[in-house]
Amino acid sequence: MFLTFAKVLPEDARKVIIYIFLLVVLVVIIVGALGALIRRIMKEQGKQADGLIHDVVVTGVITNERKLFRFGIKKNHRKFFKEAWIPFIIIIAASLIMLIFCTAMDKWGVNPFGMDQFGTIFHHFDWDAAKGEFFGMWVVIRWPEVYSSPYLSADAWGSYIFVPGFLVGITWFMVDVVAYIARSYRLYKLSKKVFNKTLENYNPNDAPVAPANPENPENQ
Amino acid sequence: MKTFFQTLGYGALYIVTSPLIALILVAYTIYCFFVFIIQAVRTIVVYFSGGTVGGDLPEDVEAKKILLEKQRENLAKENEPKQPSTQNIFVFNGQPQPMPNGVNVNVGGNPQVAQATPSQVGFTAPGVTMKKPSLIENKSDVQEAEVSSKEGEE
Repeated sequence: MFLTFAKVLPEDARKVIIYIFLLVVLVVIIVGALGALIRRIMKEQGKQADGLIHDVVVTGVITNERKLFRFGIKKNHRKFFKEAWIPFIIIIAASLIMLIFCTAMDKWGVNPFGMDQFGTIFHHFDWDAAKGEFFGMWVVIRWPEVYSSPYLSADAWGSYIFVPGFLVGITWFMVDVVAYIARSYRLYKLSKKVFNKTLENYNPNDAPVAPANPENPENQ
Repeated sequence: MKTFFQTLGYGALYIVTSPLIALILVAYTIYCFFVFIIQAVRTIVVYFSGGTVGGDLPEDVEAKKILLEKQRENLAKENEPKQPSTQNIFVFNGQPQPMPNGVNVNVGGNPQVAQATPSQVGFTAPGVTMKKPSLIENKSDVQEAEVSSKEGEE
């Protein structure tokens, strides 16, 4: 039925559908690969949780699953603070600069990410003129025209400092949040596993034989 | 091929569950922001009250004490005076020699009995007639041993 429908379609429409399909498959593969990379990084970050609770488990200071998890979370909070204070300072500094800019220029309603602020350093395209009808829908069917080229504006100096600083700080902070989530999950799994007594793989035939008593004449 | 379809499947799963993932991420970001504020306040309070900012928790202190005690016990065991070990020797031609490769021979008896023989050291070359070990005084003894070994090879 699909092939019959495809044969009825004009040549251009068929090409567009194939390109859209390939694009969708490409996007799905890229997202899948990125997800696999993030999963691997999170696994490595989660292993840091072992070091947080190793000593108290090995020395027997904590012998309880719930206490171990709560101790681990406390240590995780401290580790997160040690990692996240730098990006936090970056965000605060960027925000202070934006505050000084707004005070100096007396512009309090300004959008630092807007086209007249940080957007001045990018190309701007006329997307409306590039749209056309495609099976009743208005979609982009041609390359859009450039109606604004990059330039530096003296009225946007605050946003030139605030936006990169904010983006760097927030990305760094999010990476630390993801590491915190990975360690918390690992702590949860470890607290369940470490004190879990299971007889699943126990085989009495593999148990070590008790050493012979040299004083027992029967064993000589 | 399997990896390709796995990646495709995971990609589709992540796209479908992306709103849920975004929600969890935003929730954790807000939670971590408050954790950060609380830890910052705690750090400031500890700093101005004279405490150690990066100090250990009580459980860590206890664990370190136990580890230190174990370390001291291990060091004490290593530094204990060692008892003299009995050395196995064999007598070769009347001269005491250290025993190679841990071969155990009864020590203290008749030196002639305690001599190491080829069977005790586990080697008997084919065609080689081993003599009673003695100091080589004449070259002719060496030549005789060589001739008999060549006959054995043939």
